[in-house]
Amino acid sequence: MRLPAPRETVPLLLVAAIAAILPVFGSDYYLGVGFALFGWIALVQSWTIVSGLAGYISLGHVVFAGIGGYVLVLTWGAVPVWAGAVLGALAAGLFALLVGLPVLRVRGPYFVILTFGLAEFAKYVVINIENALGKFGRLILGGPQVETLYWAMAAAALAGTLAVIATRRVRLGAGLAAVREDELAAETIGVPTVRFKLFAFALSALLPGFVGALFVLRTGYFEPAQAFDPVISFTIVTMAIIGGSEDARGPVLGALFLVVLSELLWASFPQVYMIILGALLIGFVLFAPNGVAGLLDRLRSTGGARAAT
Amino acid sequence: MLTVDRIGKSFGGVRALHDISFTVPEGSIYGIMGANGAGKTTLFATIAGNLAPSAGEVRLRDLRLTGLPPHRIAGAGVARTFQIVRPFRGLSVRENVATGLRFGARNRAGAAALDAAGILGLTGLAPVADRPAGALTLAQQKRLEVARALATGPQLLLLDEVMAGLTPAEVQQMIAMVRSIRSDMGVTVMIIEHVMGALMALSDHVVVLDHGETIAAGPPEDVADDPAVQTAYLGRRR
Amino acid sequence: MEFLLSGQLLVAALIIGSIYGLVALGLNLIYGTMRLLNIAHGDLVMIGAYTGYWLFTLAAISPVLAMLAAGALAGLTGAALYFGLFRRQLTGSQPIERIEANSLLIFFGISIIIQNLTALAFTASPRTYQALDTLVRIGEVSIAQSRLVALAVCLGLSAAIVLFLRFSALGLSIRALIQHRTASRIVGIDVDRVQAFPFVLGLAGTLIGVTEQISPFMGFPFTIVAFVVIILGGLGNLAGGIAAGMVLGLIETYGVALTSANLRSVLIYGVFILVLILRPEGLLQRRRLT
Repeated sequence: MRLPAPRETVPLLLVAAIAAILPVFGSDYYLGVGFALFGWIALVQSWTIVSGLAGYISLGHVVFAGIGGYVLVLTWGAVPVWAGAVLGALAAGLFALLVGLPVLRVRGPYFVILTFGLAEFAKYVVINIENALGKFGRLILGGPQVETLYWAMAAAALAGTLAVIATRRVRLGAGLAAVREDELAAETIGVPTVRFKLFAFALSALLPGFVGALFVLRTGYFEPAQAFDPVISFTIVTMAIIGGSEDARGPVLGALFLVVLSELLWASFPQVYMIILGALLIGFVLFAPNGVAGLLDRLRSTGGARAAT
Repeated sequence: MLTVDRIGKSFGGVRALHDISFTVPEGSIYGIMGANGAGKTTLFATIAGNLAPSAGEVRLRDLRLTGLPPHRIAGAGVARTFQIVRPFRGLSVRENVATGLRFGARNRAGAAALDAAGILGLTGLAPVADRPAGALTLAQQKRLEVARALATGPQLLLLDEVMAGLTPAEVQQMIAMVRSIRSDMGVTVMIIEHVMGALMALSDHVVVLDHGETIAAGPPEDVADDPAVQTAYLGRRR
Repeated sequence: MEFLLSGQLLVAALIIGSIYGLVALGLNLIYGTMRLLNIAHGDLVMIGAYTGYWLFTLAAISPVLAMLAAGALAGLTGAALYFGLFRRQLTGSQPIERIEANSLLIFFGISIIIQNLTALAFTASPRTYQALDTLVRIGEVSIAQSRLVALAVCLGLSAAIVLFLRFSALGLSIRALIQHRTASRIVGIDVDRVQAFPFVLGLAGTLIGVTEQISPFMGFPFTIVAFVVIILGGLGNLAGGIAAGMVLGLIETYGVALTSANLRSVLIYGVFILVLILRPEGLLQRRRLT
């Protein structure tokens, strides 16, 4: 067994520490912020598996959260709450498996816009189904307490972080990295690219399905345009790019940064928040493609070089 | 060991390969010659499964390779390098080799005894092992192509112009390396090379392609004297 | 059924189709020559729509004149983005795939910024205004003047641009650039001149603004449509793109007429997904030999 590297221990400890500290304040506000933060961490970590490791950048990851939320409300009352959330995760994973084969044949920028289109397509399909059923938003009453949801989401964030760390360690991770660097060369040296991509895609859909279900439980409300809001996909990508998507540190850092920013701005200046988001995205793509995690590495290596001389 | 049986390939009406047949004996170094556009790289791509042939089939011993996905062909023990190098640029040289070791052939033959350090040593890449592959010189990237392919533990190694663009000294190194791959590791080698001298010196057997067809085959000295080759290939080069 | 066969519906389809064709023509040129995936394409249309709205509302300037100002504004925005952000990228040493992926993300950021700046300035609520709304009767079909102008301008401009590119020396080099994927690295005068195109988008935007609701987020559907159209019609195939715009206009109009207006987005995105999946390499792109 290889010893855990800082890039593995730091994000795990960070998530655990935040999870332990926030309830100390004893207010629902902090639990709410923590809930959102962990939700984003789980989403961005999941996204990292297919988009960071394999390089297939998904701009439609909200679709999995939307499906998870929708399955939860559809099964509401019929099965226990947590079973509904797990079913949501499974449904999202299944959806990824079903669409994955044709979708993952599409590469590069075409994959990016395809995933976006797919999520919008799913959104409008659900909107139309709900309209046809005469439902205009569904209320969920009597869901779990904030504190329960908080711990469930913290577990999801930890699971997502562990999933990225584990994937990077095993053969799957090495294969996905090869796919990202050069897919043709990867399959030529024996990487089962189709299977690996499909597996990564499904894996990256599971947790978002669960998170989507928890989002619905938290708001107590399901409305398709909100559950499948493309801004969620956009935020995931921005967080990953700001934090970095090379390993499990980036998603934690990126989510932390944007959640704090949004707490400061979103309520009073939603547009300003979005503008800053856009500017950050551009800035990081142009000047720091490996995100904050990459900047930290660079800082440390130049610092180390200076110390050595 | 490898049987190429009446292979044909056309791209939207353009015939790239036509009715190519030959057998590569186990343990040999088998040269493929031909002018630019003769179909050499296309031939390698159909063997390695990157392209599906329009006709015919390729067999490795009794196993039909044609129709298998590339990773299964790699699993069966066939490795290829790319004429236009395709290293995993963002990964270090060591990681490139490690990825080959982690995937590749199911029954690791030949180079199986070598670990990453051994392969890096053999290909002379040890000093740059921790650099990102994208930062290497072309000569180093060509050697990395060989290193990564060797790491897959192949029984048959397809080398596509690994000497193009190298200095004479580097060519000599590469020749020595290919010989050692065959003799020390027992890997059968097929090699495409523009550097005529190198190809003739290395190969036990040579096939000459012209416009997708075989125009000559045999021991290098016979092929060099073949009039068809002289007009079609050497003649045009002058 | 009678409604389906009416000239009214056909004209409606042609109007939408001509707008789609023109908007997509711009994406075809910009993506074709520079491999920049301009997700903010539709936002320039939105800028044009707002310009028309304010010039009419505040100064009673007719959209026919306002569209020139709108074109200038969209053109300036486009040029500023190009010279400010992308020109350096294109002349740099990055591989083309990297530029494509990066440009997509950068344009996404730009799109979000433009949309939210607009929302900040003019609120997010949709607006409409009444201009050029006299009904014109042609045979049994009656159309608002504004729609007729939109049809005429879009078709006329599209035709003019295609002809210009087909028969001028500049057009020849631009088309050559589109055909050769890697040649788009060679950025020179030709690519710089393509930057004039957003002018047309602003112009189209004004006309769209007269006929449809104006909102900060109205542009994005046009971006999506433009992608569908250039993939349908063939990357670099300018005339094909205009035909594809018409086809999409017909699919949309008749699809909605046959089902319901709610299904409009399902239809557009459905076509979008199908086209991308069936043509995974983009389009008209020869497979590379390996």
